Amino acid sequence: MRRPEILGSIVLAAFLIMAVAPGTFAPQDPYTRFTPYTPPGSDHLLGTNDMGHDILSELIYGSRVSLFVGFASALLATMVGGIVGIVAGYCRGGIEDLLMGFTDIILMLPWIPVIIILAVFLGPGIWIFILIFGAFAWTSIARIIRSKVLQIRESGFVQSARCLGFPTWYIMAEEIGPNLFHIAFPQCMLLVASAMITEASVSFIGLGDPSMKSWGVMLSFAFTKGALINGMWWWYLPPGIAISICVMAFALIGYSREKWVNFEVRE
Amino acid sequence: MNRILEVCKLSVSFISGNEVVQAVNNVSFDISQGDIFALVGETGCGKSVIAHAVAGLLPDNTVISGEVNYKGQDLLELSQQDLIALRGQEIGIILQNPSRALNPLYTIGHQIREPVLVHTMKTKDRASRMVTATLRKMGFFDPESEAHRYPFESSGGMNQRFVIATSTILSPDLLIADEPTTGLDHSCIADVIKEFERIKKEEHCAMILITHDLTLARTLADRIGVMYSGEIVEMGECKAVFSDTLHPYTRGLIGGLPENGCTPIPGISPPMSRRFPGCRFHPRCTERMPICGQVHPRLEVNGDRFVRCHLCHSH
Repeated sequence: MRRPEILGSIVLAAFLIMAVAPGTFAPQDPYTRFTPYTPPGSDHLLGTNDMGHDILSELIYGSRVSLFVGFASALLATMVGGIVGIVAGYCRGGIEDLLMGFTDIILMLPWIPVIIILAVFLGPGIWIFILIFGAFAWTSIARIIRSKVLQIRESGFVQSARCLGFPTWYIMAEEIGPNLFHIAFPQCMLLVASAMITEASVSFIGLGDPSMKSWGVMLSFAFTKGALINGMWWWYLPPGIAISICVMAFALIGYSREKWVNFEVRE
Repeated sequence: MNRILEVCKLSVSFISGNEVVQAVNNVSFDISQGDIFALVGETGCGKSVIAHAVAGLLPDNTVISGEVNYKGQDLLELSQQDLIALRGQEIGIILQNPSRALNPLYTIGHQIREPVLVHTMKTKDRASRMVTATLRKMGFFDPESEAHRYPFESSGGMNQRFVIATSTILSPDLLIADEPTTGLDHSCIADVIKEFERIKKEEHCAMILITHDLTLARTLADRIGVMYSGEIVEMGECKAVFSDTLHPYTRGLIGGLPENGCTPIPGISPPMSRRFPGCRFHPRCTERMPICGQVHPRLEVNGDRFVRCHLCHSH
């Protein structure tokens, strides 16, 4: 492991622990009301918002939603991209042309506006966000996986799997699939980062699920309730910083893994 | 003896662009149970293509004609589905380059067990026991620990024996070995030869051995077919072919062996896409006659074997 990757993993681990057991770290319940607009102090380390909710507790509970949305959408996108890439790369011929053509069409769609429009029509909600993100973000993974599969399908063990009479789906799932993990993993990490940013932006413009307090939703409330105009920095800075650090952690892991893969390929 | 495989007038050509490459031309042979038939020849003479054609592994842009009768059914007519069911279970195939034939991510045991799980309804436990039994039969003293190793932890020769185990665990009736010793050093080759001898003795399967290693063919094969430029030029009992060689090309090959002074055959084999009148071998032949450049010789019976040469036909 390289240094950026270690750093990213430590930061990510910290966030993950927070997300798994927010109750043990948060000083307050995020829905208990205290005096609104309290600046940071000994009672509330990061102050309170307009409803009197403790910001630090909100932040810690919010990590759960934000990370879940990030992971779930990235996993969905990776799965879709992986399946499309493997099928296109292994089957070749007409199926490949069809799938890759479809990929190119999806790739051309400006998907943040599309997500915004769909979120307006389908209503806010993290599940809808995950579905939409999964349906649009898989294209780059599909292309990367396909090019790797084109290489693996000619390798000895795939040939010998065909010689041993394994069914096609079995070869794709059992022989080729696991050999793609080191390629898909960095891409998946980068997708998590991208999904979290997208979720934050979609929430920020008011299309997030207000009942699920993610960091993006916190930012959105801070903005609409006038935290910026009134100089209440303790309200809008923490979620912004949390998003940035978290995305950076994923990006560090993703990029350093990707570099490692490319290095291995060049070797 | 029980006839397992009968290849009849098999021709294979590949179409690439405007060119038609005739890789295999009118090849016929048959193999009985417990027989090892060796196909030898230089690189690019089409011997691997025959193996792939019999196994149904050729790409879609190939034109195949002739018949490949396996126990009475024509393999060329079978659907891909039926072929998949045959491969690995009744027809075992061993490809060259053993170290790459194993998936780097799985243990040896897992990979030897895979065909059992895919082709039969056996449980994982029973399949694992089969793996242990097979490895023990192959002479591994500690099959359990071998099975837990990964391919990169074993040498090429060991890996080739594991590949053989994978292909033979379901006791196929026909085994196709395509260059099984390529890239192995001498002691490993000896191990692999021992393995094939054991399979021949114990499993009684018919085997096609494709190799350019004449010594290997001589050690293992019962019958031998010498191929040149997509055609069989001499075919007969292995011992007879080696002791009393008829075709000039076979003589050239045997003369190229180290113990015979490594005398190479002059020239190179012609490209498969180029057809010319006369014998395919005549430009390189040291004993050519005027007729060799004009008439393509037929494969004719000459005593105990088949030969494709005007020299022998005129006798």
